[in-house]
Amino acid sequence: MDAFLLQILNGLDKGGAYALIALGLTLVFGTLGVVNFAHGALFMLGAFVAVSVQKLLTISHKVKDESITFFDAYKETPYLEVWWGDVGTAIIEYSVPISVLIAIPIMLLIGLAMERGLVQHFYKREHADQILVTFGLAIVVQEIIKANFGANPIPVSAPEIVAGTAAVGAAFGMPEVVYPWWRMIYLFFSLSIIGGVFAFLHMTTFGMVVRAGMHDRETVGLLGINIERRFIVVFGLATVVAGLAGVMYTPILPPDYHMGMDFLVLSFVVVVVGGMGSLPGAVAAGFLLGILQSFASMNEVKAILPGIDQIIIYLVAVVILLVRPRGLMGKD
Amino acid sequence: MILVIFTAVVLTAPLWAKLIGAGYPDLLQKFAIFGLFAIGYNILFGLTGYLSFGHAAFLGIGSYTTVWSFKLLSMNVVPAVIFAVLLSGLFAVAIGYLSLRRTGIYFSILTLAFAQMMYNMAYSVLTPITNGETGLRVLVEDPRVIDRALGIQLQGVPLGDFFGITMTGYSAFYFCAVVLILGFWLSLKIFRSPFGMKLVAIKSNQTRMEYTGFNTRPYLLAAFVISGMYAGLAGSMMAVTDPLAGAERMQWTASGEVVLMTILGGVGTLLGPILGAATIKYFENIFSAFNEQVLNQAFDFLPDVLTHIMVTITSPFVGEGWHLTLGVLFMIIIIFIPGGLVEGINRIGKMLRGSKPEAEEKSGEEAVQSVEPETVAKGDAS
Repeated sequence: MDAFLLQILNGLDKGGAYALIALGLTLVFGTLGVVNFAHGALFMLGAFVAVSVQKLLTISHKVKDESITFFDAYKETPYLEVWWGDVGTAIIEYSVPISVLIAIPIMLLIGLAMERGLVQHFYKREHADQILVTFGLAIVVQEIIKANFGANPIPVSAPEIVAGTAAVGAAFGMPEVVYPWWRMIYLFFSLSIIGGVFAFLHMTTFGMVVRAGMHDRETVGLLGINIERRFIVVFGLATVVAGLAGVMYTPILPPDYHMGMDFLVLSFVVVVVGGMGSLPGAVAAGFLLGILQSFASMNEVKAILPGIDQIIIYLVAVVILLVRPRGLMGKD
Repeated sequence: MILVIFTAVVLTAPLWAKLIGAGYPDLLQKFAIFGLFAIGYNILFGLTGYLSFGHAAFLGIGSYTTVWSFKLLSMNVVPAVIFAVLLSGLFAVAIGYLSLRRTGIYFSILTLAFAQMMYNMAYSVLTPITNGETGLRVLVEDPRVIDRALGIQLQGVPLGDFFGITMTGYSAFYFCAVVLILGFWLSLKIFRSPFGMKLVAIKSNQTRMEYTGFNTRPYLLAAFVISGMYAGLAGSMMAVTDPLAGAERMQWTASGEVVLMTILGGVGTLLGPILGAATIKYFENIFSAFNEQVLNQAFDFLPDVLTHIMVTITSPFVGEGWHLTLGVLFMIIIIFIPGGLVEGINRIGKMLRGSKPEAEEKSGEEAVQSVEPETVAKGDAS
């Protein structure tokens, strides 16, 4: 039972990341009809916003360390600490939450630039062309990041106050069940973003128009609404969601330039399993596959079916696609 | 006619490749191997329009089978290649049968899922067969029953041989070249056959084909299996020229690479895929060898300040960053000339002849379709 709960918890945060990326992919596909292979690159860009912010905040000046006399040793002190003392230290400490705020406008700009600059020319072309051009864009973005940040993963630290683990099982008499605080934060973060997106779509007039446009673009256009402009905003929203998912994921997994591709492939599987164009399907499939993956990596399961942890997601995808062609919640 | 020219060009490759700085056997082998891979991929994607993201799996199967044949039977390449093609064909039947039940993006995801499963398994569970991360190698103490029975002793480094000719350097290139020419001949035949025409018809309107009472599934499956066997053959060639098989050639990025090659050269054209494969492999080798020193020399004729600026601008695009060049090039091709290099060459040809290029007047989406009738027309011409 302990192990069972632990695996569910472990799957949830990864599932959260899958769900967030898949949500953005589905939003873009449902509104603009574009299959965006560069969406993983946006996730990666978000993560590198966090890296850049941390680097900027910790720009240091070197002071000669007087306590060491054998050789010239230098102590590095970030300027922020020099200028503002404890406040500066606190700012550095909270670089990830700060990055979240900074990432929103940056990702929005990137999203709008991408839509206006590239994606809008591909609405009327085949899905294959859209896949290929965004795949090309993903390669370009990835290589630019690699050229600037190198090929190695760069660790980003979460605030120390949430560094430990939470004894979530203690209340149920299972003291072995612990869960890192940051992963729990990630889970709640992703849930609130998902909630926010759904609230935006279902409780605002803007969202209502977008949903109407997803159903029948032409009629909404005939009613005198400029639906395309709203869909562009949705594209920006999807970009921000992917970026934020990336920012918050940095303390869990040190980002490197190809993390986007790794997540993209899995997220595409998630989207297809959930049903192309179905938002609740994408979210449900994201969490489902995240949890399934962590169950499959249990030793007990691996003893019966060796190697299942490596292929479970793809296996589920194949079975679902063959049995339910439109995915879990897709409409025919 | 085209086959004769093609044969001549391929067989004289060592001569003319020197002029462009590609005159060494390793690179020429790669041209031939990836050309073969792309030709096969084009039979599926170019003719039927089904975008598979899992062809690298067949490449890997071909390599592993070849190395196993080297290990168990004989260092002779003939049985190795035959086994590789058969086994990858077998896998292609199974994967194709399941994947072709769906179309469009669903088909792409299914092939991707199958390939990723095989890749992940090659790394983990199947380690006894694939030797995991280290890669499968031919060892001196392997059984090699046929060689033993014939009393052939392995000398030095294990290399494939073709009835006494060791597969290394130019002999290996010529072996690949002959296989490439045979592969090209077959694809020419397919393009110009009723079978090929049916595949093109499926691409242009599958629903209509089905409404006329035509069962498209067997034809699609046949195309899938043929292209899978080509991929297996290419993988086998890789192992023939260098008896080593690693799981990384099954990763989905390797499938992506063959898509890039096909698109870059020209989807659905005969020569396009080979052109694309050669271009990518050429740039990979040439560009990745560049560094700032070479650039400095290249721009030396400019004033100092300009040299510095040019080197700063171009240096991210070469050396380790050559993928960036590839990505940019690829995007430009997709956006402006969806028909790839072949269409580009055609347009330039038309411009030189003075007639106004048709494709320029059309928008991008129409340009894609304008490629197809040309292909069909070529098929008619024979």
